[in-house]
Amino acid sequence: MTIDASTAGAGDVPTSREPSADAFLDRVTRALRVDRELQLEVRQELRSHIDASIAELRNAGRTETEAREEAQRALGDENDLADQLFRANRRRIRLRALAAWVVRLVLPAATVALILMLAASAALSYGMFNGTFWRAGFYDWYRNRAFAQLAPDVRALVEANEGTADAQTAVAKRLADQHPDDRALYANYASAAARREMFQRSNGAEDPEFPIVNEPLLQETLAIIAEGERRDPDNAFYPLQAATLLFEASSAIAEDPTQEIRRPGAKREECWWTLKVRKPDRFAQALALFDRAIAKPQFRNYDEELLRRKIDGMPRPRRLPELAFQASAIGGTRWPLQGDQTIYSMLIHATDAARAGRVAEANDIVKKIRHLAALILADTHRTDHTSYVLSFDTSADEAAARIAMTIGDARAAEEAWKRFEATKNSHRAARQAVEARRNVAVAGAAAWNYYLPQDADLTSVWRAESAASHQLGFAILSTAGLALAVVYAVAALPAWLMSPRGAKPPRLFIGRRRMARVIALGVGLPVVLFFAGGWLWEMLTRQHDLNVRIDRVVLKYGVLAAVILLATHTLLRRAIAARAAELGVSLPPPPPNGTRRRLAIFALAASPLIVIAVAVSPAASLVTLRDKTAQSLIQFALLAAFWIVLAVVVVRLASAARRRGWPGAIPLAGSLPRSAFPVAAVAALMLALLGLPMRWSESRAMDVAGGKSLLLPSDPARSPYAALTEQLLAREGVARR
Amino acid sequence: MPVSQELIKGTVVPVVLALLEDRARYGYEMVQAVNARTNGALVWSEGTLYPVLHKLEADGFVAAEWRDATAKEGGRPRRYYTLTRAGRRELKRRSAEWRTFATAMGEFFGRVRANNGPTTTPGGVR
Repeated sequence: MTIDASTAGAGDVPTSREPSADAFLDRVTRALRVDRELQLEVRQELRSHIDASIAELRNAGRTETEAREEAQRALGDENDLADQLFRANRRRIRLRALAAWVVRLVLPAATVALILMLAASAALSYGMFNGTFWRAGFYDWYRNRAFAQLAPDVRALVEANEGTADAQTAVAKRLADQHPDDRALYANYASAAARREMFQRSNGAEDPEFPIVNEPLLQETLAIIAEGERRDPDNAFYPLQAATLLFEASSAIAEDPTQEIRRPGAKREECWWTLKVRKPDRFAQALALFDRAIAKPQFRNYDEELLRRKIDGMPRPRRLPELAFQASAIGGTRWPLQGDQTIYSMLIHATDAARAGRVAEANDIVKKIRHLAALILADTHRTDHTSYVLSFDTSADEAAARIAMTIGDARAAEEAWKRFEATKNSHRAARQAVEARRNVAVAGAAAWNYYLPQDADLTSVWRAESAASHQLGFAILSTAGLALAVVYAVAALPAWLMSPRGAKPPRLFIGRRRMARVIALGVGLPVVLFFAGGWLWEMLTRQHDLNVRIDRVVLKYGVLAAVILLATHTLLRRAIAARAAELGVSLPPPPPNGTRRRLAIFALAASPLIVIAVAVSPAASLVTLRDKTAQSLIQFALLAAFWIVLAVVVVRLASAARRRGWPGAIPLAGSLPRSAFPVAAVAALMLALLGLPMRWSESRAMDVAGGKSLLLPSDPARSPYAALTEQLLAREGVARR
Repeated sequence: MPVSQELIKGTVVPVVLALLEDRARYGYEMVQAVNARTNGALVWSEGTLYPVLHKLEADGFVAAEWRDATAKEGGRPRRYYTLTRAGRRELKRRSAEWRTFATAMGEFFGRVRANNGPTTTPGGVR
């Protein structure tokens, strides 16, 4: 060990730094050598005592040699003193050794566990942003875990929306068979059966416009639907399903250039279609089924009831991924009727009839379509479905106008076009009102809120996203702290291994007070300033930190991590230097300015490492921007900054060691990282712990959102489509169910 | 009259705690304070002090910190000890214990002196 006289002795004050004094101190503290720092501390304390004693004896007229001998003699028998010192400190030595092992083993492990927990939590939440959540392996793992919590019936109901149409039908059939009196489950089965691939379009076919029909499958499906109508005779759902299949099996919709017109107010020509009927008998069956559907008093697809059953059977979502998973599992916004083929086939059939001179039939069909739209609307609750069904009525207006134009009734056509224009504009305005709400969400929840009801209030979801972003942020911060601890450990190890036995670099515990100061100023203060700045920014700009963007989160926390690393390292150096001064140990001074050039050269040499880090770091993949060049630059800048800071720390340590002479300075150079490691490990753990309340915040945001209530259709009366809906229902005399 | 080392040994802990009651002190200062306050009656072997201080520190009765001495004092860092809350409780307990002991010893020696005083009393000390 090197003793720095400048820190321990001063001017003309007599000192105990002679070899004989050192030998005396070595002898009385030899039993403490298992704890180098304690040994140094006791030595320094005794040295201070002897120095004071010598000074007093010298003042009393003793020679220096006499004074030293008397001062040492006053301390009593050397062996007794050594024994008593060991006995007094034995328990402390054991506790300090235990604490050192706890720091080495438990702290990093606990920190890694917390980081993984935070990062996994954030990755799940953020996976929804960049699409990784929906990738097969990840989603399947999460799905299996979530499905294990569901009751068998609910699970089957949810599974009836997954996989191929055949698989869905098999599950739906099993459910319907198990509950023969359940109309909703049978409707689910019929719906799934009708979604199977029974029409194949092929360019090599005899008639390219007309599909090749899988007859057995079609017949089986029609039988399933017929059974549904038998069980639920007042429901228009089944004949409409059957009509849809038969229209598709018997006719093809083809664009007709001869019917292209520019309606009043339109900027360009708009096309219309004609029906090419290939199987007149089957087409006639479809028309009959359509008429039968219109005659039914109600339309029920049981969509909402099935939705509620699924939602009721699922656990309350406590995390964003759970909500996203449940939203996707309950079926998204798929249109369950599959009835548009019937609606549009009939409208085109009406204009074809008008052109063939059957005007009354054409007008009758349009009237029926309007009524059918009202019947379906009475059963529709989801905003997107409402919009879709309302478009039937708008299309009916267009068909009516075209019929009037066909028969040359200009006045009727003008009125019909006016009505079409008005309805279309109202519809567009309502749609824009809904989309305006969703557009705000594009930055954050865009990747998955498609599965939520279109007009769901996303404020709570954004709050949960914000909390998830902070979890990711604290995982980044804690990882940075842990990386710093690893750098210290890596820097300390060779110094410790290469130093001669008995002269190992002492680990200097900077003390609880200094440690608290380093963590408070190096970690606490930047974090507090970061949040205070965020809060102030919100206050000043009225921009709440909701609807977060992942690139911004990574950037913000990346900068904060760099600040924390630099502040912690600087404060630690000072604290360790102060501690070393107390113990009379000299640490290498900071490198002079001339070494900056060497640092720059080292940083350049380290750049390939940085490139590798960019390439392999999973953090880099979290940055997603539309502009890929900007994305690459940000990824590179973030990681480069991080690695440069770490490289600078290593270089400073190495260069300091080299300046002191290699390998003589190793014990001293090794003291700094050895002493800094526990503080960096504690800082990393604290940063990880700070992220834990964010998990709670995310759950709380879900609680506030009412969890499941986010999945339910919102109140139709408050929908932007409410006025249009009520208008149509009133006109057709249909009551909302 | 100097007190024997055996008797002094039992007084070190209460004396150290009492010395730290009003302010923080370092080891050498404590030795000097004892010598000054007892007019040399309690002569400590200076080496006895440090193991006691370390034991008290390990037990949580005192806390230590390094402070820089003034230039007049030599400018060296010194290890100052202060009494913790547990140390104050321990001091109170030790003081009470010491008073009880001193009273008992005083009474005991008083009675012995009384019994040994008048030689007319037959029987002497029992």
